[in-house]
Amino acid sequence: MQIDKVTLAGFRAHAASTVDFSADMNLLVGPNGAGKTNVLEAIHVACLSRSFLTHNDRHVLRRGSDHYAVEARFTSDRGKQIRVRVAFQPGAGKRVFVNGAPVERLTDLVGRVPVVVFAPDDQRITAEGPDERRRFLDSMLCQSSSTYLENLVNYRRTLKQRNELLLTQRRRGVPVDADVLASWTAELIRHAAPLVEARLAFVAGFNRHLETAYGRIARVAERPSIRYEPLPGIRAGEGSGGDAADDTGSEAGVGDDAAHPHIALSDIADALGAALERSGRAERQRGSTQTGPHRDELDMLLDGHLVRHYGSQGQHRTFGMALKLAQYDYLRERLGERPVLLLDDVFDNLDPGRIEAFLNILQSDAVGQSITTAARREIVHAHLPDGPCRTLQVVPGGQVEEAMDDGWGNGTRSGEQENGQITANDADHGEPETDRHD
Amino acid sequence: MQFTSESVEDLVEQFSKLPSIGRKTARRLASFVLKMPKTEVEELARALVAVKERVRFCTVCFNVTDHEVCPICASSRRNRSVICVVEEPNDVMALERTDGFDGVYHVLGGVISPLDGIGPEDLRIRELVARVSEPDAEWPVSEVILAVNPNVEGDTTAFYVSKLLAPLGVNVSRLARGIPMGGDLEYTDEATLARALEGRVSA
Repeated sequence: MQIDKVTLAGFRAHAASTVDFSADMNLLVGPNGAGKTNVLEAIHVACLSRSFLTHNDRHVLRRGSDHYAVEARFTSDRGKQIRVRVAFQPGAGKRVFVNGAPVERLTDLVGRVPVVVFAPDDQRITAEGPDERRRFLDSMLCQSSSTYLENLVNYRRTLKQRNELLLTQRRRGVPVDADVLASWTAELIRHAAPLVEARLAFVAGFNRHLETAYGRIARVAERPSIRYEPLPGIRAGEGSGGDAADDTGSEAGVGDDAAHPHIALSDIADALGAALERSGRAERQRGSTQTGPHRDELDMLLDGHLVRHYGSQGQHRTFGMALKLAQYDYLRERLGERPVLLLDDVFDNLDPGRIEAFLNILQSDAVGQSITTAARREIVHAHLPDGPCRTLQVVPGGQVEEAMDDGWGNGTRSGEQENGQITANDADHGEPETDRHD
Repeated sequence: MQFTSESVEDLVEQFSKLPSIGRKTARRLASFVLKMPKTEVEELARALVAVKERVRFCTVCFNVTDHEVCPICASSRRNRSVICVVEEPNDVMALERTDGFDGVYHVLGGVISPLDGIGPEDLRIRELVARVSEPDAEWPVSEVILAVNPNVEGDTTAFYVSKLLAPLGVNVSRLARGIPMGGDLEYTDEATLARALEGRVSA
C-alpha cells in the first residue's frame, strides 16, 4: 500500500494543507510545533479512523475550526486506488467515506489500509504495564482480522455489562439473579475464547518475525521472543525452550510450528469458564471481572529474561523498534499488502549505528514507502545511503512544501524554495487546547 | 440562533427530548410547526395525546394495541403453538411485513442491560414463561423463536430466556444470521461470512 496524497483541513496545526508523497522514502522536516507529526496523524486517521496519539477527536480539531476533514488517496500493491475521507464535527460525530461511499461503522474501515507507526514511546511496550502490550497485540490483530476486531468490540461491551452487574451486586449487598450472571458469563466466554485462540496463533507465528527484525536493528546475539500463557496449560511462544528458532516455516505463511499444537476453541472456552469460576469470590468482592483477555499478559523476553525487569534503556528501545518492524512484516505476510509505514521522530534520540541500520532497512526492498518526521534533516541526511528520498518542509502554520530535492525525488511543485523560518511563538501550534468545544 | 419567543424555545426543548433529534433538528422542526396550518398542528397534538390515552398493551403478548387483546392474538387464523419473542412492538411490524409467519408474538419490552439498569424483572419474561407453561388443550406451545437482535445484550437475553424455557420441553430456536439477500460473498465482511458459515443449513 502506498499513500499518494493527503489533504488536511482544520486538523491540528493545519488550516488547509495538501501533501504529495513519493513511492519511496519521504522525510517531513521542520521545527517543533510546525505540524510534522500532524501529517502522520492525519494519515493514521485515514487508515484506522483515529489518531495514534489520542482517541478524542476534539483534541485533533484545529483551534477555531468547526470541523476537520482528512482525505487520502492510496494505491494498493496490486494497483487498486482507494480514496478515504474522514470528516468530524463536534456534536455531529465522525463520518467515513471509502471511494465516495459512506462506511456504516467506523470499524469497517479497519484493515483496508494497513498501517504501522514507529513512535518515540515505542519502548513503553516493554517498559510499562501489560496494557501497553495488549494494545500492541490488539492493534495488530484488529488490522489483520475483522473477526478479531468484532470479537474484541463485543467482548469489551459484554465485559462492561457484566462488570456493571457485579458492581450493582456489591453496592446492594445482595446476590443478583444467578441465571442472569451465568448468562453474561456465557456471553463473555463466547467472545473471549476466539480472542485467546487468535492471540495464541499470533504469538506462535510472530516470534520468527521478531527475531529477524531485532537482528537487523541491533546486530547482536541476543534472542528476543514473546511468550503468552493466558490460562493454565494453554500457552504459546516459549521463552527459553528454543522452539521459536524455526527457520523452516519462513514461507509457510501461517507459522504454526510443531511446538504449538492447535488448541481447540472448546478447550479454551472450558478453561476460561474454570478460571472465571475460580475468581468468583474475588469478583464479587471487587465488583469487576478479574480474569480474561482484558487481563492477559504478554511476556517479552531477551534470551529468556523479561525485558521489563532486566532490559537496559537501549534494549527497550531496540525491542520496541523490532516489534514495530516485525509488525510490518507480519501484516505484509498476512494481508499480502505492504502496510503504510509512518515514523514519528524516531531518529532524534538514536545512536549513529542504529540510525544507519534503520535507514538501510527503510531503503531496502523489504520496505516499500515510508514517511518519516525529523526535527533536523541533518540527522537523517548524514546517514543517508544513496537512494531516493523526498524531503518536504513543514512550516509553522501548517503548510507543506517541497524542500530541496535529495536523491531522485521528483519535484512536482517547481519554483518553491526552502522555507525553514522558525518563529518564536510557534511552540503550541501542534497542540490545540483540549475540550474547548464542550 | 436563539428564538425570541419563549413558546418556541419550549417546543424546541420538547423536540430535542426525542431520540436521535439534536438541538439543530429540533429547531428545524419547531420552525416547521410554526409554518404549519393550525388545523394540522391540532391534528398532530391530538394524535400525540390519543396515543397515550387509547393505546395499551395486549394482555397476552404485550404488543401495543387499542383493545384488550391485539388483533394478532385474537385472530383464529394464527397458530398459537408457535411464539415469536421480540424486543419491541416495531419488531412485530417488521416480521408481519414478511408475510412469512403465522404464529403469535411475545414482546419483551427490551433486553437485559445492567448498564441501563434493566434486569429480567423489568421485562415480560415471567409472563412468557407463564404463557408457555400454561396448559392449553387446543394450542399447546411447541416452539419458541427468539427473534432478538444479534448483539451482546440480545444474545445474553436469549441465553437467559432459553435457560428458563429449557425445563418446559418446548423447542427454542433463534433467527439465523448471515449474508443479506442480494448480497455478494466477495463483498460480505469477514465476520458476517464467518457467522453464516457457522450457522449453515443443509441444502
